[in-house]
This record gives sequence, C-alpha cells and structure tokens, in this order.
Amino acid sequence: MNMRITDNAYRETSLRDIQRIQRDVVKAHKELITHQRVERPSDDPVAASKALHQTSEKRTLSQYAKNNRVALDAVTESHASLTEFKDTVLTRAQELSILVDDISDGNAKEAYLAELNQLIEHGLQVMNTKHRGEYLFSGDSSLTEPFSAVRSAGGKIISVSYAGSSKARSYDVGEGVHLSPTLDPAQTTQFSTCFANLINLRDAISSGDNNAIDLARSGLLTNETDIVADLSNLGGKQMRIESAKVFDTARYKRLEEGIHGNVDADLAEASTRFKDLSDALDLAFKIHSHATSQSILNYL
Amino acid sequence: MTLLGNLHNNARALDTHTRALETAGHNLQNAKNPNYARQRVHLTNSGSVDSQKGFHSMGVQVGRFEHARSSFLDKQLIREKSATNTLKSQESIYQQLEADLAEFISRSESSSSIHDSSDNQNEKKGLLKSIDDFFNAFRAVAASPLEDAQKTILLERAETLAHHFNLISTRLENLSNDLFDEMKGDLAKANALLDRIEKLNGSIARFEFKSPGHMAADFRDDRQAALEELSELMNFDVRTIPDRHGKIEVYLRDSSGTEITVLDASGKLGDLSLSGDLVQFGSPAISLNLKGGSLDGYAKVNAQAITAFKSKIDSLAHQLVLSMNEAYNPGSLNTNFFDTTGLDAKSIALDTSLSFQSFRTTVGAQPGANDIALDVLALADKNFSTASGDFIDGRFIDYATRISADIGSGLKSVSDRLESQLLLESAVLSNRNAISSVSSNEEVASLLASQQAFGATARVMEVINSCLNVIVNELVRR
Repeated sequence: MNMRITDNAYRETSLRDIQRIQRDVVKAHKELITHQRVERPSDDPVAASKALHQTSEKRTLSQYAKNNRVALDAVTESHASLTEFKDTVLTRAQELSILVDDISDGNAKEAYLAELNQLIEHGLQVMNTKHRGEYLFSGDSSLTEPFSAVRSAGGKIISVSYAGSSKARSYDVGEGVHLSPTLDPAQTTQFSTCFANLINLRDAISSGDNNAIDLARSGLLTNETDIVADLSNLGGKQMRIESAKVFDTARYKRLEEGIHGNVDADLAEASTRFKDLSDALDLAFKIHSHATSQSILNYL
Repeated sequence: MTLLGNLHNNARALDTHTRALETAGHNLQNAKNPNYARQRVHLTNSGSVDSQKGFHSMGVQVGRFEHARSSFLDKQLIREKSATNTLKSQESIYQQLEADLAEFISRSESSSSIHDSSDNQNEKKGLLKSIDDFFNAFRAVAASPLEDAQKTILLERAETLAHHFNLISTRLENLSNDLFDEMKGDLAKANALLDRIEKLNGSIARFEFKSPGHMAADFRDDRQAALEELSELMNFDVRTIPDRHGKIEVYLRDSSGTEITVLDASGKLGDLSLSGDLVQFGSPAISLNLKGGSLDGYAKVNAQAITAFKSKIDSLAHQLVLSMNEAYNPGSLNTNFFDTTGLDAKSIALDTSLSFQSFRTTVGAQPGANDIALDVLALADKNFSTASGDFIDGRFIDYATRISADIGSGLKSVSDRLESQLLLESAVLSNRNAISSVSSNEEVASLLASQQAFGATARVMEVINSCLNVIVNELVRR
C-alpha cells in the first residue's frame, strides 16, 4: 500500500497500538493478581452465569450442611435415649420379672418394687429428654412434655400418657433429602403401652399375681422388639443424614471445581501472556520514542 | 524582454516563492493539529508574451492553491465518529448498570469449605446472594423454628433483601436522571455547535465571495472540526449548497425518513429540543430519528437496557411479595410478610406488623411446627411462568441470574462492537490523515526547495542589477 505517512498518522497509530497492548497488559496483570479470569458478568457472560448459579448452589449446600449437623445431633440424641430406655429400663424390668418368680423374702420383693418404680421414673425422664431446648419425642409440639404421668397419693406413677403432637417436624438435611430426625410420633405413642406394661408388672409383683407378671413380661418383650425396630429406624435415618452430608460435601467440591474452571485464571498461561505483552509494550515504547525522534530536521 | 521587465518578473517570482515558504511554514506550525488539513501552493508558468524579438517568458506565479481535503473521507469520518460515540455512550451506561447490580464474582472472598460458605458475610453482596441468604435463613428456621437467633437472622436477611431491591431501584433512578442530564448537556452542545457552524458558514462565504478562486482553508478546517464534534453527539448529513460560496446545509431525518434541515444557507433554523429521550426539532416539534452519536446511544440504552432492567427487577420484587405473602399468610387470614402495597423494587418492604414476636413458622398451634417455612422453601424451587399469569419465568434465582447475565451480555456485545468500530474509525482516520495531515519531512523538503528557488531568483536579480549598474553607471557616464 502506497500511503503517505504523516506526523499525526504515525503518532495516532503508534499510540493506539501502545494503548491496545497496555490494555492487554493490565488485563493479564489483573488476572495474575486476582487469580481470576472472570470477575464481572461482562468478562464472560456464559461462564459468569454458570459461576453465579454454582455459587448459589454452594450457599444452599452449606445451609444443608448446617441443617445436617442439627439433624445428626437430634437423631444421635434420640438413638441414645431409646438405647438407654431399652438397655436400662426394659432389660432390667424383664430381669426383675424373672427374679420375682423365686422370691419368698418380703424385703427383697419391696426392694424389687422400689427398683421398678425407679425404672419407671427413669424411663419417663428418658422419654422426656430435651435437646436444644425442645422435647425430642413430642413431634412438632416440641415445647410440650411428650409423656405425662398420673401419680398416686403416695407419688407412685399409676399411668403415663402421650401428650405430644401426632406430626413430626421434618426439614431438608441435604440436597433432595427431607426427613424428620427423631422418632415418628406414631411410634412414640407406643411407649405409653410400654409404660403401662411396666406399671402392670410393678402392680402384679406387688399383688403376687403370677399370671399378670407373665402377661406384663410378655408385653415388655414385645415392647423391646418394637424399640429395637425404632432404633433400627433411627439408625436408618442417621445413615441417610450422614450419606447426605458425604454426598453434599462431594457435590460442593465439584461445584468449587466447576467455578474454578469457569472463573479462575490459568496462571501459567496468564503469566506467559503477561511477560510477552510486557516485552511487546517495552518494544513499542522504544520504537515510538526512536521513530518520533527521527526527522529530516536532524540532518539539516 | 528588457532588463527592467526581467527584474519585475523576478520580483514577482520572489513573492511566489515567499508564498510557498509561508505555506510550508503554516503547515509545519500545524503539523500536530489534528483538525488541520495541509495546504499546498502549486507553481505555474506566468505565460509568455510575443514581442518583435520573439516569445518572452513572464516567469512563475502561484497557479493553484490546494487544500488537501477529501469530502468523501470527511463524510465517512463523520459517520464513523457518530457510530463510535453511540457505542461509547451505551458502553458507559451498561458499565454503570453492571456496577449497580453488583453481581461480581470474588474468589478470594468465597469459601472452599461447605461448612462456612453460607454465612460468609465477606462475600460481595449482589441481589443473588441476598435471595440465597433469605431462603437459606428459612431453611435454618425450618430446622430450628424455636431458636431465637435463627428468627433474628431471617428477619435481618429479609430486611436486607428488601433494602437491596430498594437500593437497585434508587441506583436505576439516579442512573436514569444522570442519563437525561447527560442528554440535556449533549443537546446544549449540539445547539452551540450548530451556532458555530452557522458562523463559520458565514465567514467562509464572505471570504470566498471577496476572493474568487481562493479557499477559506482555515475556516473550512474549523467547520469540519465542528461537524466532527457534532457527529459525536448525533448522526446527520451534510450537503454543499451550490453557488453559495462554500456554504453547507445540515439535515437529519424523521422516523419516516423525511429530511429535516436544521441549518441551511440562511443559518440555523431553530434549536434542537428534548422530549423524554426523543430529540425534536421545529415547531410543531418533529421527533428526529437519530441513527448515531451519543444522544442516539443514550436513548437506545435507556429504552433497551435501563427500562428493561427496571421492569425485570420490578417483576422479581412483585413476584416475591405475592408468593411470599401467599405462603406466609395462606387465605389472607393473618398478617403478611411483605407490605402488600410495595409491589415493585422501589417500594418493597417488610409488613409493618412483622417482628421477632409476631413472626410465625406455622399456621397451626404447635410451636415447633415449620409448615410455613416449608411452604416458603417450596417457592425457592418453584418454576414460575408468565404464561400462567406469574410475573417471572423460572425460579427466583434463575430469573435474577438471567438479569445479571443479560446486562453482562449486553455490555460485552457493545464493548466488542465498539472495539471493531474503533478499528474502522481509525482506518478511516488513517486514510484521511494520509491525504490531509501534515508530514513535517515533506514540508521541510518543500521549505528547502522554496528556499533554493528563492535564493536562485535573488541571485538572478543580483545579476540583472549588476547589468543595470553597468548600463546606468558606466555606459551612460561615458
């Protein structure tokens, strides 16, 4: 192309090129400092949009993780309470129901009766356990004591009834995992029968009614089977909660990797680009300075 | 030709070379002036006379004065500058919109651990984060409806979300006002430039009328500079008026394509005015269809981006208020979550009756129930549809992300187009510079040539003078 090169044309072209290189240098420099290729949606609308979605999902997963901890605490506490009820109250009550068969000593009988009363009291206390200020086994009526006792004039428990809600509180403990981390109220109400069997056993021992003792023992055995099923059910929930945690943690990591791929700078590439552009800018300055100092006037 | 005749011819040649020297000097003085078009003196033979002793040359004279301008390239540059400024003004508004939405991604502030990211209050706060925080607070309340801390956090986040909408709306309003102020400023500049062009038109006509065959080059340069400045504000066309000694007329077009002349041989025909974002002219006012310049850019970005953005943000706020109240207060039997009169981003607010004490998580009597919280959470995943009468399409978070992506795409598209446009403008400018701009090397060479010619002519005069000296002082004395 045979074009006249004029002072303005040369200066403008040269400055425009320098500005273009400088803009690219600043971009590469920023990538190296922030480690990010995309900071604003306009940097790469598609990548930014994906990253914003992924970040939003991360926030939700993080909240699920918090709910997961709350649920895990609740299910662990429920499991511990039921285990305590089964191992301490039911097992010992059944032992006592067998021990009274051979008893002839009145003092020993009184001791067993006293122990049974304590077991019933303990059972009631266990089933009215509070966790984070709420009753574990009263469903969503969690400020109400789930089991209330009616006592005799002497203070003995003569009946126990369920006063909680028929509905459990359920919530999200992970992505797509919605459950109630405590015992379902339908199962909890069975404990009223359990208490009734314990009270019947105590009263049968007191009256020496062997048939009634056998009946109560049999009932307690059924109760134990039910509680084992409840424990198994809680174990299943615990497993689901822990699986959700593992799954969500892995998903969170994948999202983090996704964001990394969409947004983060390739540092090796950015640093090479920065070096190349810096060299180009240095050269452009030198050429500009040299060329603009060249004039026919220098030779006159 | 006599010696005296020769002396006279050479004296005229000295004037001619002086004129060439002056012109080269003028060019050199303006070598860095971007509005200046170089001037050139073309020398020509003064002709010859037929005498009894044969033909005698009459010497040299200024044959033609050249003003190196290409009206084709000048018009092209006006168009390209116009197009460039449309995009520049759009880019600046889009940049502001993107900043106002503040949906930035900051990796250094985000957490890589699942256990602490939802509460990372260091994260830059965009609308998306506010929406996420709001629904996540409900998730926490669903798990622990009786925990006071969770309820407090939820109410704070709801307040933050409403405030975020209000803030964006206020920023948009400010941006819109700033844009109109900018348009008013640009319009005042355009009117002032038309006044200047009118005056320069007059100066050019007066000069060229008084000196037929001469060109008012410097006035023409000034007028071209004013036209180029005007083209940065609006696109227009220019036409030379025949037989009016260099005067031009400036015209635009209305929406039907009809020419609307704003300046003709008699001068400026009126002021441009602004009605909303429409530029108008004349009485009765005719709306002009600007197809370039910052005024066009502002009008377009106002209609395409700001208005659309405002409408989307308002729809999002409207949908949130309606859906939340429906979930929080089914059957409208109780108090609402959001104020029912605040149905856009500007006025969205929590219901005045909503407080820590009045906040409820259930419609029933069980204090530990979370049915309301679960209904609210269902909204987070609900796919709304305008076809079904909703105000938005998709989930809240999808819609908000789309708003941000739309602005990002808009800005990127404008920036990419601007980059190409700048290349195009610079190509046209280079072409014009190649014709019009001054090369100091050329001018110095021309200066040297004129100096040589001047010296040679002076030498000839010295010789003629010595010849005359011989005749007058020596031959006549004898």
